[in-house]
Amino acid sequence: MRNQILGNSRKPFYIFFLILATFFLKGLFLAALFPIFQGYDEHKHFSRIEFNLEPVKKSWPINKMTGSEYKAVRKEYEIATFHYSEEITKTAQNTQFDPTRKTVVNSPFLSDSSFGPEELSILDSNWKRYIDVYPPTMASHPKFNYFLPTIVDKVLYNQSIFVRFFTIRLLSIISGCLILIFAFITVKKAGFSENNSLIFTSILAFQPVFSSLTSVISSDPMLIAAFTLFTFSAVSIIKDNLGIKNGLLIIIAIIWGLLIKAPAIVLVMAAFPLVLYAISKKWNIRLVKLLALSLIIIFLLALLLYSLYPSSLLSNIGAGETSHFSSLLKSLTEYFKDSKRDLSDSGLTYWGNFGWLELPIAKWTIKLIWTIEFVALIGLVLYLFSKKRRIYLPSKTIVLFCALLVVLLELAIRFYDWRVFDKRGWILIGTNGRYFMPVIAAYFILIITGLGYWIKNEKNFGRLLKAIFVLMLILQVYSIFNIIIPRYYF
Amino acid sequence: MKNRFNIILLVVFLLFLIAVITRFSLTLSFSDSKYAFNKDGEQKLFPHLPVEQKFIAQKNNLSHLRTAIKDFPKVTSDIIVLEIADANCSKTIAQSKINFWTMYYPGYWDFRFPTISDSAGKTFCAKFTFVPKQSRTKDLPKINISESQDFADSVVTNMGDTKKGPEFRGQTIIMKPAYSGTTFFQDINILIDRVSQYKPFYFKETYLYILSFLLILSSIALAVIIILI
Repeated sequence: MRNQILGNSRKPFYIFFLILATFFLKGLFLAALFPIFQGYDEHKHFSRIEFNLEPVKKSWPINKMTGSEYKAVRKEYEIATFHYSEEITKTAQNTQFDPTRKTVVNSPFLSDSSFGPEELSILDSNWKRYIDVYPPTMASHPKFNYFLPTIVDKVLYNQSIFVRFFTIRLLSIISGCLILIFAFITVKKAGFSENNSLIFTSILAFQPVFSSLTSVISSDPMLIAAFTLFTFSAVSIIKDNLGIKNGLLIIIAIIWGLLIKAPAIVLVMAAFPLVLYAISKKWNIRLVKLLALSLIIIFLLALLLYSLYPSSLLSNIGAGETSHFSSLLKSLTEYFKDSKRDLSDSGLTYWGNFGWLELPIAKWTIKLIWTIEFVALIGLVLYLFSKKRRIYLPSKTIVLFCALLVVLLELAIRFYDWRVFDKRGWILIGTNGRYFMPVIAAYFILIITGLGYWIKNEKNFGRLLKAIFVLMLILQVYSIFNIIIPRYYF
Repeated sequence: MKNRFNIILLVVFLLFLIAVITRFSLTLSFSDSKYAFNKDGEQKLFPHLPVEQKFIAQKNNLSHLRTAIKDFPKVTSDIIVLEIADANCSKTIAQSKINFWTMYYPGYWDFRFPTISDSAGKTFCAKFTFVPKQSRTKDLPKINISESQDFADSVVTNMGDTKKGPEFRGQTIIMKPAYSGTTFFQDINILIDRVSQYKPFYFKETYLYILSFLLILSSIALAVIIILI
């Protein structure tokens, strides 16, 4: 397996191992830096994990509220008004969760020793670890997300909340290592040289938001892993063929993704043209003919569904009784107006906004990144239309597929955001940059290909990658030392 | 040619590392953390008219005052000067300023001044003065203020606000005095102690030192190897 990935030479293996080791150590360091519950929605994920350990038949009295009663008493920045276990609520209160989360000018109260002012009282407490007020507050993602974390929590059941909580964070770091392995084999398959593949993986390993996401309790790392595995299988299918191995990998990636989160539906959509491409290549059928035939079949199927279930279809695309607006056009227009600001926020949260998204990198930094992305976009378009083949860049088919994957995820996230907006009349979900993290490998392939187009030979392409790596490393170090550490500890 | 490029990249990386460590060591200081502010309002900083408030330093070696300021700078020549004065707000003990080139902090602007070593328990006066190159009445910077029962005795004086001020009782400027250790390594010890709090045993003290050391070592090794690859 090692030889398949890294060839017979030992040097790339050692470098690859060093990349993984550095990423793992960095993940541990970040996991130590972010205070308890200060990762996005971590308290909800942890609540779900703890809830999974409760017996099915509850042996304690439960106080039930209706949904509207609960909504009336809940206050966003008062964790005590939510339905968490006593342990989670009181630990959060004793570590200043509410004021720290509410505004960036507050931070946890700290003492002059290595134990926090309330740490010993938290360790000595006998707080209830079960929820006794319903409906319980917890993350509502599919069960599969919490399978491994629940096992870890069960094994460490008798340990303190700090041991349980921070050990579960380690699972995200391990997912991050898996993502890097998938990313490396993807770009190597796509045609990057071994050295360039190592540099590409190093660049990814130091992306600041990716690094922070893979150091807190979150379902995103597993989803990113599923997407990256899918990208690898897709590239393999494009380069080789739709054999049993690649077919199985695609299916595994899709099922894995769907078991984690709904955005994985994008993988099903992306698999469709991929399979068509593989079939057209294998049996020498013109892709255009195959695509046209497939679209006709899909259209006929849609017509059939519409004739059988017209009202449910319409309500799902934003007209009818569930819509807040008088027409589909009005709904879309208002959505585009309201979501314009979100576009720049998406960029910022993708490249450098941490914690509860109150810790952004400096504005000039994000503008510089956008400039680089813009240059890459132009390069990408020119590459796709150019007649010259650059052997050190991925083929145009691979680039097109990566672009398709990115666009499909964008459309899916924005469609879902619009659906919720259409029902309520205001933007509730938004388009946070981390929602687009699943396609990070494909996205970076696009950026690097786009920038690589401006470079005339492989030697200089390698230098470009090194320069990008140094910039990414600088961005990561800046994020840790000038944003994250001062935020919580200065 | 290849070696020259790699060497340039290596030099850039090392220079950057030195810059980060230098800046980090200059800003390494620890504030009183027992504040729970709300951003309840703001005080405009009128040109050349200070906004003042007294505060009590909790520890020795007062060296920074972190202050929540918004809408600054609007032009590159804007400056805000901080004077740390005595309890009567008359005699200046230390001075600092921030401008367009001052590095951004999450939530705060960091005013750094010569360490006041015997500051513990003493009352000081913080005076913030906006000094634009050309006087103006629009696009003025604002200092964030908090109002709560915790700050009932606090008074903010804004010499530029003649309509509602100049005294505003029950308000406090959102600011945190910060203190340095006597050496860089003492500061690192304090930082490790702070990071260790509310963590499991394997993220405390010695383990944290080992983790930090291994991370720095492997990151530098990886960076050098990748650059020279």
